[in-house]
Amino acid sequence: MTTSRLTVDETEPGRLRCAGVIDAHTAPSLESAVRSTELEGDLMIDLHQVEFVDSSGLRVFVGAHHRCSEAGGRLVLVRPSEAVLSLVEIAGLKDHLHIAS
Amino acid sequence: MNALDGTTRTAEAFIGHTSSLAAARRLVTDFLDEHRLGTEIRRWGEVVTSELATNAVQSSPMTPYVVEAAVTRDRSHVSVSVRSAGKIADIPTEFQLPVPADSAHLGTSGRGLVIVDRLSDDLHVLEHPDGTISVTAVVQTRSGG
Repeated sequence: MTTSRLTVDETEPGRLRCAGVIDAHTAPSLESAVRSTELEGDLMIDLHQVEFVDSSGLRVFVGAHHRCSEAGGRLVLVRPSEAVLSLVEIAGLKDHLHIAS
Repeated sequence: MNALDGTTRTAEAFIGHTSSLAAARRLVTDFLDEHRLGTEIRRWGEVVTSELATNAVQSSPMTPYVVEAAVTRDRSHVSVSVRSAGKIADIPTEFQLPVPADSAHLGTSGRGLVIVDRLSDDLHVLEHPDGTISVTAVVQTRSGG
């Protein structure tokens, strides 16, 4: 059976690179990676290789945004697809999450 | 109109676990691909299925749920429906009530059905005599209607 897959690599301190799908099945692994990352400034999540995100992924982004804010930094979503950007906008998060192309 | 009348449809039951979500999305996107309804409708179906199936899994873990996708004969409307053992009370109140545009954006939960509602032309919940509920999202296509 097809199952959602997501790999999350910490390519350098404060930078996570994701590949795959972020849904309710895989979001916990991203959430775990966000929690285990030592924040010293901004947290960058590279979404270039992410094929799909739903509200479970948005929930992780919002949680990461809060964590970064508390630490004095920002969450930056790097290279999200057009579909992910559209979802962020529809969810009303566009003005709250930082996007880097 | 009832978008489920005069349609071609596909349906499949899935186990109530998050591991089934990808297969549920695949059922719908394959169906939409067969009908060549375009990228926008495909993305709609993928997101809507993911959100509705996730709600079913989270409200009734390990209980099977059924996903149905349908396209009207004139291809003017597409629907995705998820029937599960959930209860009306499981539907987040933010779905049942309008969400003010400038509030609660940074809450960390309950966003799924709001997204489905905003993406779709119609969204309704039906409680069946057997106690199961169906949540159906409908979108009008550009090719029909």
